[in-house]
Amino acid sequence: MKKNFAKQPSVWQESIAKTVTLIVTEDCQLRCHYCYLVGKNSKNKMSFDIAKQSIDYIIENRDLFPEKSIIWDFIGGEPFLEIDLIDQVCEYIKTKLRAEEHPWLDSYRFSFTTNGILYDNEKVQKYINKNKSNLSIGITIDGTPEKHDLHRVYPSGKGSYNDTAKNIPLWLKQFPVGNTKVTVASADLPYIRESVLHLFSIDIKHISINVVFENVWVEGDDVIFEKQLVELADRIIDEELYADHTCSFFSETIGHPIVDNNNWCGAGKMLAIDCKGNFYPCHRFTPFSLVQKKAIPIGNCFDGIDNNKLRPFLSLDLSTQSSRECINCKVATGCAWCQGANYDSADNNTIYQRATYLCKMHKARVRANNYYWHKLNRIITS
Amino acid sequence: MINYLIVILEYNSASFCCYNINTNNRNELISLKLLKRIADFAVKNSISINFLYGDTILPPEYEQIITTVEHVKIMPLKHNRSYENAVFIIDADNDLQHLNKLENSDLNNVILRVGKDNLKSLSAIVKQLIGKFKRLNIILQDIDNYEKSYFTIYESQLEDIRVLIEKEYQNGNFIEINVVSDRIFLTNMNNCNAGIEHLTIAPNGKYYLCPAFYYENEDNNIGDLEDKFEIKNSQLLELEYAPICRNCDAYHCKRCIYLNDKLTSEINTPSHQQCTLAHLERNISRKFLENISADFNMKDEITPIPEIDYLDPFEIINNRSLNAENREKHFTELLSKPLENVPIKQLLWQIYKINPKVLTQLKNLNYSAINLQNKK
Repeated sequence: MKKNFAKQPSVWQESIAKTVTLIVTEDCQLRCHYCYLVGKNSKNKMSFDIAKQSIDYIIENRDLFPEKSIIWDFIGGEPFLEIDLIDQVCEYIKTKLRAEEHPWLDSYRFSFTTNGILYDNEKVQKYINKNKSNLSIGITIDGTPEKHDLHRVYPSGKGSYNDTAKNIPLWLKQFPVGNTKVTVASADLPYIRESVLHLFSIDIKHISINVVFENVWVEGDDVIFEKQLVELADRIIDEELYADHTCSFFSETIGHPIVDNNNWCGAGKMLAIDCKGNFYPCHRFTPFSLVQKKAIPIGNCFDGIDNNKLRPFLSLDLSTQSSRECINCKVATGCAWCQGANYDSADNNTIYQRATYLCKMHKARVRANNYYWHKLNRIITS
Repeated sequence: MINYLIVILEYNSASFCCYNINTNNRNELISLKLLKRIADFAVKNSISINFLYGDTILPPEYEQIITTVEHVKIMPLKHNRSYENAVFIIDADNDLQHLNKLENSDLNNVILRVGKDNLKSLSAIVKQLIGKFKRLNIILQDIDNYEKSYFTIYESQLEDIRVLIEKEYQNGNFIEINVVSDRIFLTNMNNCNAGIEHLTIAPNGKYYLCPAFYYENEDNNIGDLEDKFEIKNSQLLELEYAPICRNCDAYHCKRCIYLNDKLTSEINTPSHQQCTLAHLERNISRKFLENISADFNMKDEITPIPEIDYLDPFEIINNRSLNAENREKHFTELLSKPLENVPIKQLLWQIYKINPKVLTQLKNLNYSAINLQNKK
């Protein structure tokens, strides 16, 4: 048996870089069932003027943005629907950084999360080739055709697996350590094992996978989840896939008591900008991402950031938003939350109430994770 | 635990705090029936009431009900009827010509509301009022619009007020002016505590966290006198759940939840303005305490207010060069240690009030300053 196991590739300049998310469109070809972007539309698209105004504000205010590196993150909807704008914006960013002699000129990334449907489009490819050395792109593919097409569908209901999968080889050729992000909801729990193995089989070596934060779980889901993960653990170990593949459900750092008081979520440390130039602590606080609550803008590209609105996000810690049960939980590490989802489901308008819909699912994951590492460590140390 | 209610007797009751009332000719007087119910509720639950008056002279049957409960009357200075022991509100924007209505007295309790346009005259107004109050509460309005220049003006006005109050102390007139003297008497947070110690009932019979929430939007109510009130996520009113405030020793700060909500959208998070103003006051209090300790030869008996290197604790919390441990250390090293300032007699009295048995147990303990047992 192989004695070494692979580690998740590190994120470029993680926790050092400022992430600025430009929501270039609220449109998407797909209508994925679990998508938190509940207000998709073809009307709202970012204009170049709004993008320019926002970029000028960020680049010209170094005291407000002292980070050594920057990630310009383009999202939608589907960002590549606006490839002409993105190309123009990226050229402008480079020109502006050069003109300002900004240190970010030597330390920036353009980042994309895409459904992959337009990946082989001529304009997209031209853009990729032009910016390849400063680019990271993740294509979202959910696993087997059956699982993918369960949720990731066109408005007609037709699945999108074939249109995404056809571009995976080209993507992996250009970005060999390509990392895909998989989302799991209640109905697709029985497909987890085969989906992860399927993605490994098409040469995607690193899989970031998580269950949705929202209140979708039904009685017995944790049992199915644990069973799927234990079966997946056996296959990964028995087939020695651990040597060069990773699946984020299994991590040595999860399932321990909490030792610090830090907030899990980075809302407020990042900056999201919508099509109209409004600023948000993260894209989950935009109007089209919230179901129950009003958006929380923290400024706009014309007036700048309202620092008072940022204070709750930047002073938020674990103990002020968690129940005693969560704080004292013996398997708390790795139990994730999303500030936007917390806010949307809170009893009143606050970001200080942690949603705990995931509790049973996290505990099931921890049990399977313990099984995985127990089995793997015995092999590695034998 | 709710200790008292604030009852708004009429829609146009005078504001006694930082909120403003939309003057829209609305003349809604609380109904006699509701007033009776509130009084009955207060008596049965052993709570007192702060009645907020407007300009209306209340009918005698109203006054009769008010006298049946333990209460404080808070009313505009220009009110046409004089009441003993009332707390008077002076609105610096409108009432300065009425100051002569306030007789010289060392008993009066006065609230002075000052908008940003009158800020530069604050110490001059206080000077005019000296001799007419025992306690003066200065309430700043418009602080949501305060910029750096207003902080500078306020700091210089506080300095002038400190000189005024020190002179009074030297003459044996121990008056209180909240923004200068409150901090020197405190060893723990002593904030507004709306929603914890008091609630407000408006003329519509609904509960509010405080009058400001009623005047902001009547839909902000948290219940009805007929039913129970419900404050969702009420733990956020507590100090423990306020990450910026729990590491702070500006003990006198109002920690105004209305301004928090308005400026930061969270009731547990103070704005930059609120923190800065409270720390300017803290720093003046520090100087005041230092000077009167020297004046009264009490330097050895009084624990000074420590010097700190910031005006807004958020600057430390958000300081990227400090990790969580160093942030805590920064606060721990600099801030007042609450119990250090409490005289031992007072501390024992407080322990006795909580549980007399604890003192008995302490008395029965055998202890000595030096343990020589191991030397034998």
